[in-house]
Amino acid sequence: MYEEWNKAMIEILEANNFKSLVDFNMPLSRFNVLIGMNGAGKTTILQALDFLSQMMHGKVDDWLENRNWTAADLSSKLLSTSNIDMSVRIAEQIEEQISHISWTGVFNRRELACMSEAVVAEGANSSKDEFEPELQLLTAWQQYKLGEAPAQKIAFTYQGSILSQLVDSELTPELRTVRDTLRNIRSLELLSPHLMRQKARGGADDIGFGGEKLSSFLSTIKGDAKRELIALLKEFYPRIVELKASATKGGWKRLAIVEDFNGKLIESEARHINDGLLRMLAILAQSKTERSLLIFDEIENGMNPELVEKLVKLLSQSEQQMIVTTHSPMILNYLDDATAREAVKFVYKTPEGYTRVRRFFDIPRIGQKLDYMGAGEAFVDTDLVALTEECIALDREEPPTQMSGLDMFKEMAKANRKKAPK
Amino acid sequence: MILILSGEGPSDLGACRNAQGVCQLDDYRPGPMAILVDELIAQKLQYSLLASTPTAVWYVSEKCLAERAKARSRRRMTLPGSKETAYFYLNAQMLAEFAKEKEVESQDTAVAVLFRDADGTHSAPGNLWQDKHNSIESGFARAEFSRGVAMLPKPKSEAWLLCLAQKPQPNKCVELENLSGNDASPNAVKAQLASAFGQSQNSQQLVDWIKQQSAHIAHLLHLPSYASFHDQLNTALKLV
Repeated sequence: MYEEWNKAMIEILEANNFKSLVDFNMPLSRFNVLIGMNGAGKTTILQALDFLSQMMHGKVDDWLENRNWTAADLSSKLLSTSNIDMSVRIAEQIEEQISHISWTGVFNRRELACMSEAVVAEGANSSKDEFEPELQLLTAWQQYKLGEAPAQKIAFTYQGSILSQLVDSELTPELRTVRDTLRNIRSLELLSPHLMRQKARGGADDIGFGGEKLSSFLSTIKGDAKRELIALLKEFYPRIVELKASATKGGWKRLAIVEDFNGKLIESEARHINDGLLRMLAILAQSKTERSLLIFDEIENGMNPELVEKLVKLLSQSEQQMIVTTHSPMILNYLDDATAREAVKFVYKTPEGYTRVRRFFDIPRIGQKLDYMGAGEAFVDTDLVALTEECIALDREEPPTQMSGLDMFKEMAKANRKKAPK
Repeated sequence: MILILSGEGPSDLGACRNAQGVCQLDDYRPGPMAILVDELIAQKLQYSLLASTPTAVWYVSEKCLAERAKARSRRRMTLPGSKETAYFYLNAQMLAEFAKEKEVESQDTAVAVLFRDADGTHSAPGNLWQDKHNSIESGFARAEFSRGVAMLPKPKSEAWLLCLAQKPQPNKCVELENLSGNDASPNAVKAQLASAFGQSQNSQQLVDWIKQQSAHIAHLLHLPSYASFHDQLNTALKLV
């Protein structure tokens, strides 16, 4: 799965005490499709990844405000603990070798920051033996320690991860990979055509939370990048010949498209553009950015099946890591079996209210269905209520054997406690 | 008339000796359920297809039907009605399409029998026999084929053989359908069949044995899953 992959990707996400994610562990591939019933926790997983991203931006309060959340909303109502533990394992291919970098953080809701954090690198660039983990960052007890350098007192305040504050020159390539891979996660789970129709002011390096800055963002795309975007858009909407994001009075940006109807050019303003096209525009514009991981909730919303087929092909072949959620069997039927086996993840909830994930086609009975039918047909044919029960029974039979990143961190913290200053 | 059979393997309708998954004559090794089908047809038509006109009997493997199902366009989604029954629906649809091709080739009318265990590995826990049966019928209907027969023993073919071997009271026969299809279960029908015979029987032994049972076959009518198959086969034969 790494052959043509040159960008770093998240291969494992772990979380504890983030909403319904309790002792949660999810393997990720390059392309991921989350399926499951309403309320199972699909969107929560997307939110957790977005939260991780904000930790590396260091602007957790803005993020909470944008979502209309308070810090109290972050933690699980199922546990009495306050801190939120997050961990990711990132795979990065450097030339022929794959290295793994794990980041773990314990987020304090009162401080809005990770009071303890660790980054461990294994493989390629590690100065130690290839398989021996190398501790590159440790934060605890108001101190931080980079590699073998002496620990330093944290004399500044920050939100999220300390990596959001440290300058590049202080960081190893692995630490920068962790920071940038997580920072470049972009969740478009709040994408709203209603907001995308709005005029926006000034230039923007992003389309905004719900797409409200789409017109500003598009106004910054120029030259070859813009031609490429229009060419891509034409694959979906062949009549489109031009995309206009022009300035109006007071720095407002107005978005319009020009379509060719038998030689007659018709310009339509964003407020008259259909939902599907606006969503497509937002998605395609993101797919041309440096984003490491793109997240789309209910990808099929507002789009006709013919477009969805092309879009799924495009996303599944993208160099960027992708997570989409869907309730649409058509989306899954467009995937070839090998991709579906790897990509489709079933999200379900235990009787305790914890979100869990299993690769859908790894469940033997479900995998067998691919002998006869497409992935989407197998999905339609599956009783998800009954499958949830089966998965819960499987969880009881085979508890996780591998030590998780969070467990490793706890061990490490214990070992380092002795060295800590009183 | 031609007869098209598709089962799960040697212990039910049989198997191909060739690798193509479609066979007849010497390439086809009939299983005990095929002997049962042939016997019922012989009772109606007064001759055995397997003995008198073996070129009229075709066997299609499960794998072959799976390949045909898989080769369908991805744009045509199958919606069998009940969840967890698409396996049965698609097997029926593919078998019916195969039967129609053979009808054109042979310029004759086909009866197609689809054997699947109701409680086999392709079943979801708690899934109902009736839903699977309905899906097989829907699959035949989707292919616009009216002479399709569902041979769907509950929980699996060993229950029918056990009924024939023990010839218990009618109500006891019905209870056999409640045994477990899971071979690992303490209540497994497979283990009970082995103990009825004193030891586990291979397919050929069962074939030889069932050939001697023609006088007792009517006893199987006490089994609802068999009675349904019996009725469907007779209806199909009337349409030939």
